[in-house]
Amino acid sequence: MEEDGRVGEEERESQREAFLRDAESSLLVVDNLPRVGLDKVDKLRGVLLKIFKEIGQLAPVVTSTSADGQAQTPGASDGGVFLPVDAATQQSKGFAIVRYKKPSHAEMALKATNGYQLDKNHQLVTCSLADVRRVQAVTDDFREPDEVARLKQAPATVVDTSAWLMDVRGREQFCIRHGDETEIYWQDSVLRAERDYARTHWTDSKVLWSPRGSYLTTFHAQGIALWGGSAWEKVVRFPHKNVKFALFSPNEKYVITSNALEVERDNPKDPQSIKVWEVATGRCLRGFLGEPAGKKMEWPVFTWNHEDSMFARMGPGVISVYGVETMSLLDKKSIKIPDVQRFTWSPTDNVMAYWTPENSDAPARVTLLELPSKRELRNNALFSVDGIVMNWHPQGDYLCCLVNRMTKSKKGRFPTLELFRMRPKGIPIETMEFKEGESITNFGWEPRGHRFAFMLSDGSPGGRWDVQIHTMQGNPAPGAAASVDMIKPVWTLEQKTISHLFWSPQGSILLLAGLTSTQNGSLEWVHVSDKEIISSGEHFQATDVKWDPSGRFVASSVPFQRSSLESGYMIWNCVGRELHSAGHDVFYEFLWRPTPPSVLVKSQLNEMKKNIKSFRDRYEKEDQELKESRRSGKAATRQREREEWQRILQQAAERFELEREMRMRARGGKFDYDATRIPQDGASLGFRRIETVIEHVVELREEVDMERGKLVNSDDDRD
Amino acid sequence: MTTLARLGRPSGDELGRAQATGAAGKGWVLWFGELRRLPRELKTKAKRGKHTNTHTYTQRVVRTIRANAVALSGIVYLFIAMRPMILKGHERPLTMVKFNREGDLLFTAAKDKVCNVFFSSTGERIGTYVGHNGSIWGMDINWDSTRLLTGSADATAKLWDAASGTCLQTWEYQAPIRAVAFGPDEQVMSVSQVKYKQEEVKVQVSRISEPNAVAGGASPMEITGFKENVVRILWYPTGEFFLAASEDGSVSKYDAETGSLIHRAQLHTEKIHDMQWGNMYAHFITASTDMTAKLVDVRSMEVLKVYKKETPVYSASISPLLPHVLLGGGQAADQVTTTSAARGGFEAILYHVAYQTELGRVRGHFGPINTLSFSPNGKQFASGAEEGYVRLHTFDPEYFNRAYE
Repeated sequence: MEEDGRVGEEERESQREAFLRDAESSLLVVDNLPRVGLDKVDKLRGVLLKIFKEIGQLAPVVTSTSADGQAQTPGASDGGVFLPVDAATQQSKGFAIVRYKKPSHAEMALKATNGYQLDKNHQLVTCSLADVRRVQAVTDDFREPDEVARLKQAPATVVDTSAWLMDVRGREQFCIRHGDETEIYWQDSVLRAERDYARTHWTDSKVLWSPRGSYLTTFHAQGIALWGGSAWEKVVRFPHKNVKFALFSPNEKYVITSNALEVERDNPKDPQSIKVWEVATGRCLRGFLGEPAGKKMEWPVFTWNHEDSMFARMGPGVISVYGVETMSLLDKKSIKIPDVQRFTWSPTDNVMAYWTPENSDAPARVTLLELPSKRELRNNALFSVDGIVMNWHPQGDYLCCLVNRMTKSKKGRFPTLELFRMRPKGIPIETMEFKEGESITNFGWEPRGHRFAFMLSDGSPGGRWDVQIHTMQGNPAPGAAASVDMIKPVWTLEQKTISHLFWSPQGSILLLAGLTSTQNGSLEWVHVSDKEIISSGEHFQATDVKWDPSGRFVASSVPFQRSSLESGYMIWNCVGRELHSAGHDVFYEFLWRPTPPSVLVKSQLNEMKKNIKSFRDRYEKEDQELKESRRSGKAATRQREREEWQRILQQAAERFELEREMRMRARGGKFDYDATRIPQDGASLGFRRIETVIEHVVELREEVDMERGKLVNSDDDRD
Repeated sequence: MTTLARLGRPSGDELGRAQATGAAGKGWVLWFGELRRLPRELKTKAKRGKHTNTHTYTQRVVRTIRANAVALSGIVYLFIAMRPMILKGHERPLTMVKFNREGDLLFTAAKDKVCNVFFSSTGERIGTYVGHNGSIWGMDINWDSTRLLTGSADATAKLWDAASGTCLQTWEYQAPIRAVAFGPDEQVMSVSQVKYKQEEVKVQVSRISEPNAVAGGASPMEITGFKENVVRILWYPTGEFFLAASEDGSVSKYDAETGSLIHRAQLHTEKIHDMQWGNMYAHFITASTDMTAKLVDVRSMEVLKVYKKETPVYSASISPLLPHVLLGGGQAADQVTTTSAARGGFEAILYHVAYQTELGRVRGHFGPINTLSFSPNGKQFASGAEEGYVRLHTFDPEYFNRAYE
């Protein structure tokens, strides 16, 4: 009997286990329910029953055998949904237990109902009993997982990509490419440019700095690679066959690459043309299709918003905005804008500007759209529009639309500037109109300022341009509301033979450059606030001019394609003093390393501005000391070299003296080396000149001035 | 001779080079025969300004001058007006210029098969040595300037009476002759024969008294084992050894008695073109296509100093007077037409012997300088170039009065 009993006991035990196992897998815990009073418990259960019954047959949760005290709570008896009620508050506890007859149904229900929106405030959180057990098993004491501990012990292999910013002298860096070489230099205002790193065949085609300067991107047939840190190690690489383009997000979190593969040759299920990568992990987040064959890819296809959260691309009649979190279209659909021509993101806000041309009944429009809300902030209707170029202020304070408009006859063209003020309420717009035949190029906002400059031509031949500078913060017109700013002209430089304008990144200094082949690379530095031309210079044949990110230096360069003779670069300081120049036979490009935005808060900046004098004194002293130490160091080196040379000569003289006899012997005793004769002309040949008619070769040369290809008479050009 | 010290604006190229070689600060540049003028850009600007406003005109000029002065970054460019003598005695590229021991005569050899001799003080040509039937590649003048030894591509070497120009003796060889040199006693000479058909490169040391070194009974000493042609031979004045510079970039030291190799130093990665003695025979300088000239200690055969240039160096000479070294060269002759004269690097460049920095440049040639030499008193130098001219420059007093620190 005892044995039987034991057998029975074991059987029961195993049945119980099977039951529990079954029960466990067929039970679901539904959380995040509303807490309702006793009167509404049944109603809630009804709602829940309706939801869960659809999936499979339910089984009662609380059986008579259940020992759970709360099960006896009146009104909580169930048809498969058990709602426990707190006896103290007389309210349901905010969760429910659901039991299915079959574990498979429970599984289905788990997937189907997790995240179910019960009402506005309640989204169901469904989990299996196993999940509950797992959560319960977690102790309250935190224990570091082994993995983390191991990682902590391991040496840091992460490349410090910001190390270069900690340079004691606060120097800038730049990268040049020439021949097969890619070189990175330090640029100091006192010292000569010093090479930091160089590598032959570093890149297959070009290089690209990331927007904050953390990485240098090299392009290869297999993909792109990012390099950084003080040793220029490879940080990460993104395999993308035949990659041609790359675009970083402004905060360097992501990078988009493209190999310009046509849609026809691409795989729509797994597009290879455009890829979005996460820089930190090296993961490919998503692929996109490129352009169809025959249409040239206009890079960048995608553009980023300022905080790396959205990126957008324009298609025919649509702008597709993608969220980074989901890597999918915002609200799962593109924004339909019939005939949209171009869009640009604000550099500081989640605002996008786009323009649409005129069609039969509607005017052309410039629209400001806020995202992701898709709220239209402002739109500006314009008539007789030929084209619009939109230009954001670097700090996002203003937007300028350069509108090329047609005269009534549609034959002539004239430009207008539509200037949006983004900060005041309602985004007021001001318009500047110009005469027919005039044209505007090189519109540029003053960084960190409120001024803008552009080049205006009246259309007469000769390539002369007026440089006009205006401010957005002119005094209000008399009678206008006191707080309203107006556009006001600041200064006009007339009749300049130039082709480009470059604002200093710090504002207030404007660089006028003539970079076309006939303008010889003339450069003129203009102080806008003082209305003064600071200095002028020339870099013959220069085609590229670039300010460094701090606004301390300007680099001008001549690629070898322009002139193989002048090929190279030149560095000037911010007021046009030439600092350094170098020529390379096959020079490609010059790239300043960008810097991240300042981490100083406004109060710190103001503090610094207040104490500018003490800073200046300190830095000037540092520079002076450096110069002196260099000078004395050089002098010391020279002294050493000189002394060494003297020693060599001394030894030579001693040996020479020692060997006198030997030399004499070698010459058969005939000649004495040290017998000094001062020969007359030809005396050594036995000549004695009686009379000589000297035919001087008097030079009256005409030089061909190679640089300008003109014949210049030597006398003519002396001042 | 006038000396003009003047501020002018160098081209970016010159400035860059001056800075690159450390001449900045102390640097100065010699210009011979050229007065520098204000840059053309300034001139045109001034003209334009006149039309509008005289005030802006002056202001602009002043400002531009200031800008230019600043652009010099502390370099004072000293332009020395000095008239060089252009010696037109050859029709083809020069191969060698050489002063006699006293420095009053200048001997020049060229590919036009003749040698010339000039008065170094006036540039007057005294005479021409006619007789060779091929380019003259090497020559040597003896101690008292009575005999001239020449070696030619016509596979002969000739001994001339220097004063009369009569050929005293001719030796025939199996291959063109590159370098010739008198031994210290002028009883022996060494001749280098180039690689030609089956003939390998060899240096022969033979007695001058023998009518034909090859046919002569006492067989001359023959030295072989060179990879490439020997372009220059220098005898040490004690007669212990001589040096042979080869186009494989090496300089070899041979025992003059036995002809055995004492030392071979691989100095350059490319062809050596020239080798000249330094003061008191303690060191010599080599010039090479690898764009360097090297100053080498003759005892240890160790490189003491290296002078770098942007174009191949074809000739280098050490000043007997001042701690200076002069380098000549330029872009290879076959590439000259592809570049302008300004980029060809046809200037003679003066370096400080110890600092190895550039001191100045002398312009004038419009082809690569094949050969140059300081006069023995250090007051002149001659350069011969691919275009066929020899330029004889006499240094201005300013050159000697400067402190080269």
